[in-house]
Amino acid sequence: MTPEMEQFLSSMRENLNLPDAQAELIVAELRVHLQSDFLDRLRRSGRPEVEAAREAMLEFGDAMGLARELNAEHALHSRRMAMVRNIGAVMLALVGFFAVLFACDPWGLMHVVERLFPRNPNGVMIVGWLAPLWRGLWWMTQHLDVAVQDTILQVLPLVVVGLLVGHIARARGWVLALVPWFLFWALTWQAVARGKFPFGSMTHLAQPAIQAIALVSGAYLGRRLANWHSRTQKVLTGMSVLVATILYLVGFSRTNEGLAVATAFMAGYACVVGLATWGVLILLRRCGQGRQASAAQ
Amino acid sequence: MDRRDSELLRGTLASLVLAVLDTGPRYGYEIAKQIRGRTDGLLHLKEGSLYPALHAMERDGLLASEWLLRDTGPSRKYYRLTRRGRKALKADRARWERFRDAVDTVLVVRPAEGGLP
Repeated sequence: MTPEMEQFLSSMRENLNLPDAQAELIVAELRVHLQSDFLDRLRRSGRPEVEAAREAMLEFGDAMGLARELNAEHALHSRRMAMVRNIGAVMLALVGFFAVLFACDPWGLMHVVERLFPRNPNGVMIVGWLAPLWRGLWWMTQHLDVAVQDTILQVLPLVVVGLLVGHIARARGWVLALVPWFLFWALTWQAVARGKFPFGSMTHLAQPAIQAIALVSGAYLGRRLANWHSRTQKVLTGMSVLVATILYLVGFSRTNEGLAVATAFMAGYACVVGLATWGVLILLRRCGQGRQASAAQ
Repeated sequence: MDRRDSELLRGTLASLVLAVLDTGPRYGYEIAKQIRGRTDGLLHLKEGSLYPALHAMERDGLLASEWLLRDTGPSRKYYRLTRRGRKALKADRARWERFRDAVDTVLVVRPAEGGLP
């Protein structure tokens, strides 16, 4: 390999916006090709070394352009993978939501709401609106085997949380994955300490499930905000923020109603965690860019 | 190879790569050399377009790759056809034959049909 060829490869390596291991493999592959081509040319025509190297490099064209094309190919793959993971996260969130429905007795909740707010029938009414669906699901759980019920009620929410934390950890590291978890515990503890935690009247099994939903929605919102690249992601982010805001406002406008307070708490929590995660990710990204810039200098 | 040849080559690059790999696993430089050799240098593949195409085909599951260690010299990345790649090659061959026949019917003027009415 001549110094010019090494310079070509190193210039292309710098422009590859891919994980280090992947970029190294691509450069290694191109190095084999460049070297073989170069040696073939030398052997065939006995040309001067400089000329053979220049011709071999010409076949590759512009180093930056080649890097850009390879980036595009691999980025497309990453985007597809991200979409698959996002769909998985949403499905898990839905599973968590149904786990909450299974965990709460609708008649018991209506009774609790009636007792808590005897002068305000709206809370009971809201629970009543959801009751048909809820009752159907509750009926289903009553006809399942006890072991299956236990699995759904206890294991599933924890699995949802575990998978989500694992997903964030793989993408951003374990420290960051634990941030939303601890933040949630801090908020829950505060709410319980002040006697404002709206889920005290539910079965104890509902609490991990509600945590799971809040954690999933918050972290999902955070990830969407942090990956601000494609139009789809912008639309998803906009919709997430809009839905969370509406839920939050609706919840605040009906602060005397048990279920609405619960909704407000969850939606508000999703916003807080989402924005906090976003802030931390942006901060980390800027720190990373700063380090790269100083390394380049 | 002029600009119009390059345009034709770009449209058929994936099929050419699939056809070369149909005879066995090869690494990037070998693929380029094979195409050049089989066409007597008429189709001169730019390496700058070969590698993005190879990576895209691997991403789409048409090719699989493997790094082979060698006792002498650097290790090489060999590409081979997957089952989906074989199916794609078969479909490409059929499509190319239909396309070639269709173009021939327009471009190739037979003596009986030639001349003014």
